Amino acid sequence: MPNALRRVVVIACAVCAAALVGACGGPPPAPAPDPPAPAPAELKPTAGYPWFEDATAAAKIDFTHFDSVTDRHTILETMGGGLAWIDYDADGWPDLFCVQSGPLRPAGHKGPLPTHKLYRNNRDGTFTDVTARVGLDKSGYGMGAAVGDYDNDGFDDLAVTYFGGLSIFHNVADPAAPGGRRFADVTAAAKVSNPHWGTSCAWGDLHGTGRLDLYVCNYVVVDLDNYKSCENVAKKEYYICPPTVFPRRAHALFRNNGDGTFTDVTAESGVGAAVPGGGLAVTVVDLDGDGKQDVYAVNDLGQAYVFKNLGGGKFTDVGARSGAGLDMNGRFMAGMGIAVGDFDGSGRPSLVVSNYQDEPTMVFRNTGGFAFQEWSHPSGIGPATRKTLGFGIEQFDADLDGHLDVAAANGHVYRNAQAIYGFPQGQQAQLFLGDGACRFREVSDKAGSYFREKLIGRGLAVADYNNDGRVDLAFGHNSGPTKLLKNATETANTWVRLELVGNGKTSNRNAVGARIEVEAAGRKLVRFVSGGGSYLSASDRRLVIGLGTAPALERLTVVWPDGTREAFRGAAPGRGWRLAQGTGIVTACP
Amino acid sequence: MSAEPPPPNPPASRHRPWVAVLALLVGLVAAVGATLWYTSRPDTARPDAARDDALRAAKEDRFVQAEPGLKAALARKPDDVEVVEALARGHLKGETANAAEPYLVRWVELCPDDREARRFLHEYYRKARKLEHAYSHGKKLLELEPADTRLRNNLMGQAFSVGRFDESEAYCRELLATRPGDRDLRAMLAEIRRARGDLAGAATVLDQLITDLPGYTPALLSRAVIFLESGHAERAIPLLRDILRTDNQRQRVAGYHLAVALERVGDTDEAKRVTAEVRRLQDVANTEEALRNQPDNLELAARLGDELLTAGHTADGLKFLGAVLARAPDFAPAHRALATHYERAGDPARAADHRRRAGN
Repeated sequence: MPNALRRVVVIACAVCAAALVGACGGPPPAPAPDPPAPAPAELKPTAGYPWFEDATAAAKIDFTHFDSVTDRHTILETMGGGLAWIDYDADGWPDLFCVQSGPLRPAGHKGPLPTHKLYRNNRDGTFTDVTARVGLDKSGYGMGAAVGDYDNDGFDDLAVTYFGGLSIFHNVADPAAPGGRRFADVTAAAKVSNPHWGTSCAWGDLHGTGRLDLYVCNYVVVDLDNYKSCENVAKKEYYICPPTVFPRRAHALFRNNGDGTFTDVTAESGVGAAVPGGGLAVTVVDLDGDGKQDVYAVNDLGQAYVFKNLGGGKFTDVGARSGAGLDMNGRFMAGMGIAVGDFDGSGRPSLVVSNYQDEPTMVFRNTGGFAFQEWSHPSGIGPATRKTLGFGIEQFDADLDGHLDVAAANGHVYRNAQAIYGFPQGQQAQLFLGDGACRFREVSDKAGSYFREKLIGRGLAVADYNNDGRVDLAFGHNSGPTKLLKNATETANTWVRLELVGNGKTSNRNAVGARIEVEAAGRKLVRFVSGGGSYLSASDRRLVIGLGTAPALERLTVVWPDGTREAFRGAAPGRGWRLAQGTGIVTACP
Repeated sequence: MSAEPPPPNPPASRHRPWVAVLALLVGLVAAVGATLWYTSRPDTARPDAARDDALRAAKEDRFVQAEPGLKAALARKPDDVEVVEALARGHLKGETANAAEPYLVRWVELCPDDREARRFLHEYYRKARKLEHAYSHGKKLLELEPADTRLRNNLMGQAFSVGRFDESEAYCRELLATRPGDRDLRAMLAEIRRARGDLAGAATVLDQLITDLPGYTPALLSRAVIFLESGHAERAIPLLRDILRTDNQRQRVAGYHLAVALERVGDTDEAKRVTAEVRRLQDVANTEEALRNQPDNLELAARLGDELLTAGHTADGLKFLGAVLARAPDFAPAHRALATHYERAGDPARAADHRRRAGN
């Protein structure tokens, strides 16, 4: 019926009604409620897919990264901060350390300066803020953290990088609390100095001494007093300058002297000979299987370093010939984060490097002998990550099927990305399920509500914090809260969690550099205890190894950092085991 | 015959004219009141009209006005295809394209065989880079439009992107059946074979393609990469040199792979030379990018010019520093960089001149 005719009829009816009742009006009908838009897919666990629940509030994690925003859009403001899982009290339950930044001009800041936070794991799914109690209530423009027992005393220590510095926090007995632990800032006593803009850092035995050395990525040189903002003239908007407008700074390497001190060996090691890069992420791992720990470090718009360990404390950069120094077109990557693992079943550590918007996250398959095959596109990760600007990235087995998966934290660097590009700064994190043959499929949409939130993701670190055999995730956000995601995947797959303990003499106690070989149900899985990784962050070094449907381990072998090979028996699936070098036996842990 | 008298007229009331007037007035007042009441009510109180108004507004590109009415209509009738379609189109046209997804999904649910709905959803997911979804709907669309060659071509690429290499190859071969000589399709087939781990198969396709089209550099590049990946770096080298000689657009990528190949055959010095050239190309590109970000930053330009000179990129460095001095002839940092450069180059006279102009 035409609208006009319908209106006439309605009016006529109204006239009749009015005439009959002698009245006009009456209660108007209630307005229609504002309807919800049709829901996309209902968010609930899907059989066969991983599922993560936001456990931040329940766990009582209340850390918020300081918002240091200024109208100058300085490059510092967008970098975010790191996260580190550290079992500081060695009780078998990972605690969470959050790196705090601060105001660019601390002198003008009103009120107490924000500090890092350490959350102790209460073993019941909750955490307690123990920052002040353990002496980590330190302020500064913090960036990244690395966890390592550098003095082989059985307690993990911390390295924290800053804009303009580096601190070593030694884990010591707390005289005020018998049995307790606290941290002492021993930077000066340890003779460690890095007065530059340090970002990611990594512990690793790079000198084959059984002690952990420290590698520090340095980024660029920024003079805040004479900072020149970049401006998009067409949009009349300032924006974050790219690193190319600043001078680069060489990375740094500190050799552990074994007496609580370190020596800066940047120059003599060969690390300083590389073209200064603008480093953002590093991993320490034996890339060529020669028993010596190598370094892979990515630079923001610079060639990635592939430092081959020549022995004797000497390194040479083979990035140019490795195939993992540049992207597939011979261009610099905007390398932000690194995930390392045996993604293709080759038994060799391959690399995944997060990248800038409209650039694919790079996948480099390790084909041996420092040769890498660029595999971004065929892996499925490349195409799915062009829509994001990636930072933290980590590998873990989300569904315990025995294949390594990949999680990625994303978020643009421009807070005015909407004005400049037409899309928001916040981006969704991503989760990719691996098939063991270096092919991945994105399952972010099915992984839980967090993966639909548009946030400014930066740090990312993984740990099985509740010791239930399912690896959980902690995401850090620039100027935003840390989020703890509990892995609540329903699966019948089996697992073992392994904590390796080196002998503290020829192998570092953290066993960084160890290789684990697990055989179960006819499959051989290889995992690595590597140093560093992700972006500014440190994951739990304990390894949760998914076994699929295998009811038992057939063989468990560890190649320790000192090269000794040792078989272990008795590690039944479904719980955590501690493997101490030289004992050949496993002991149960939480 | 006799006639009956006519019936008497009813007795006339003496109030009759007044009653008629009153009734008329009441009727008029009622009509006016009802009309006012009706027209003053919110649109939601006359649902069909509001729906039609909203649809009309949407068609006239007044989606912001139309949206509330459309949503209300949809709440009343969730399977109203016309309304769902209007909401989807409205969001897609405006600045709220991200909000289109649920309506596009609903549209396709209601009309699974509607090609336009399916195409919109496919395109939406493709642009949003939700590639699995895009590919899934693309496949359905192809069932509806099997003759759409362009779509089949897109699906070949999307299948490749989501790791469905077998399906990508099937599309590729279907397309090749109609265009057997298509060089891009043949190169794609080789890429798919490589992704499936069949380096030999990829090599066969490329060898034939290179035989047919010797100057087709994308094929030469792919073949060189496969030589590298299969441990025959020495065979990659001549192909890469060919590309460097003939294809200005692929200098950096060919140079990069050539440097890798040279390193692997042990020709380290030549590898370093090629690497330096690749780096020069990259450094210059980065410098230009940096200067695009801060075009008025003379300090930056001078520093980058200095860095280029230090890295051995003499011509580029001199060009950048020359540009700085053209804008600011007395700019000391540029003179200092040039002084240092000429000292290194063994030209003390020029070095001294720039040192003097730098003020030291």
